[in-house]
Amino acid sequence: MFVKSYKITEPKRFEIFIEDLNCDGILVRPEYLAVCKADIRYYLGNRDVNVLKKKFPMSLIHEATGVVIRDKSGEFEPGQRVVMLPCLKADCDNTKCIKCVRNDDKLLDNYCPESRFRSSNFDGFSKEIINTESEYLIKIPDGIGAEAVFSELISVGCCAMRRAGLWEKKEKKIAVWGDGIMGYIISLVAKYGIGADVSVVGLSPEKLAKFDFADTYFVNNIESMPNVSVAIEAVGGNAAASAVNQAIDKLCSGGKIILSGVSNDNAPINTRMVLEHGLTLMGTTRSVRCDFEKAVGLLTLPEFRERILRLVEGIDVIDNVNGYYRAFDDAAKSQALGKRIMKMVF
Amino acid sequence: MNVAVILAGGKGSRMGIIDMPKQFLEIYGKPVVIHTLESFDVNENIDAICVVCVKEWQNDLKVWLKEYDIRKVRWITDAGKTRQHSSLNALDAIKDSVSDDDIIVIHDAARPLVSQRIINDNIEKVKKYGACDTVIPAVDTIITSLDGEYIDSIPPRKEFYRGQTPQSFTYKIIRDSYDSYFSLPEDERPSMTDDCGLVLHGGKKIGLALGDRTNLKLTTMEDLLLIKSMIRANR
Repeated sequence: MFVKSYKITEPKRFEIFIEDLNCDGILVRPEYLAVCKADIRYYLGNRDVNVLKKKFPMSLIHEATGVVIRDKSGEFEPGQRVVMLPCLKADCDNTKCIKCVRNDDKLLDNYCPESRFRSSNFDGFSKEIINTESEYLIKIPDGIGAEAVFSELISVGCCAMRRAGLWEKKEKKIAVWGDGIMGYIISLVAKYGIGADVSVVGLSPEKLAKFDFADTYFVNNIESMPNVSVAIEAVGGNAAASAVNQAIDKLCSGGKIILSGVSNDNAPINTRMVLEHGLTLMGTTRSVRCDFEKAVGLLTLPEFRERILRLVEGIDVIDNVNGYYRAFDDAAKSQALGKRIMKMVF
Repeated sequence: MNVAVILAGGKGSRMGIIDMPKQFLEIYGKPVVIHTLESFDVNENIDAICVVCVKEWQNDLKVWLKEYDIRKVRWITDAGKTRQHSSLNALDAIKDSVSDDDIIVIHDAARPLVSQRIINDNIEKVKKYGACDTVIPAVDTIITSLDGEYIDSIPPRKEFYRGQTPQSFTYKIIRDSYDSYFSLPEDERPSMTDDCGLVLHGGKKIGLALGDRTNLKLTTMEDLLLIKSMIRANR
């Protein structure tokens, strides 16, 4: 059937595409979508020109919920609300890499070089209908509304915990650098998922005030902050280096730094102290199905969900491409901790 | 129950193809009528579909329904000699399965680019008004000319809309309108090009549902070229 989508064809240019959708899988109508920083980088053209040329045209958005409209297998009833997963498994014969990562439970498909990720090297969710498979859908429990669109970000936090082995070894004290949305969500996962006491280091007093479940510290005044065994960097950009260096100073010997912020530039860090204290630096990004399952499970916890609801800055009905442009322009300018959510009507 | 009536009874004489009505032409390997049916088949608010089809193509249609796994078609009925007769045939075919308040969504098979939003809007508007037409505001200046040589008037553009399909009604409204229309002697029936004209003639109010400029009707070879050029390769 013919379906419409919005695709970015060059920076700041969306076009309406009509495509003949293959209907052999489960058909899902995207319902709530949220714009991610990565989407904004594509929109503003803040990536290498040659990289963009290879990716465009492409539908953006990888944070999405949807409504199942048809599943011939009967696993999903029509009308079932679902979280849609953006990481697509590789069609790979496991012979290309020295060691396949897909069965390593600290890595999984997320780190397979042949995997695809929506709105990165494959079309995202800005489409009238998505044809997908059950392994890329998770049912949303009753009582959870548009805030389920944050499942992807929550799953990234869950992935960080999985990568660092924190689900098994419940750390009592975790420090998070970053008072943006990723810092907020990772802190929530550390608090309500791991059960840790969480310290948060940030730059904005207004944003830090919203971390009412954690001890907060202004970035220039962390002397009183206790030492921790796990530090999570959720800053990214140019400030990532100073965040990592502060974390190095606050870690106990044998401690671990989990890097989760995206930086385009190299970061000079205090490797002497890394050596002296036997620290481990670990990168984490994105997530896979098991992380999404944890994320949706966390959303059923009232205290957790209530704090995720605070991130919903409003819901905009997007029924034409002009509204879609406005959503991206607003997201690019926004300094808010939360996000406006798009309710899609094609 | 919401029933879609897909009108695939046209001869397509304006296409210049004499052996195949336009709704059975293929667009990238699939008949136009199937592209259209797929949009209604997957729609959450459509419960059943009735296809009004020219008799000699009904066997082909049945084969395609299986091939493309279209599941909601419950009735295939013969095309009539006019659009009104075709719609009437559909109303007769479904009459034992519907009640007065059920919603009937009537759509041209030759408009394969109908969106889910338009279908859903039609259903919502019928719940509100009892009847609705899918329209888009006129963007060109409208000229009237009675003799085809000189302009008679240039009416205000904002009052003009272009009618598309679907056109949707409660079963009672469209049934009563048809019964009333066909109760007139044949030479007294006003000429109508669509179902809304007939309902309006019956004195009923009809609400507006916003259509889409891409909801093109395949009428001429130029339309086929346009529609094919609008569809991009999937990835």
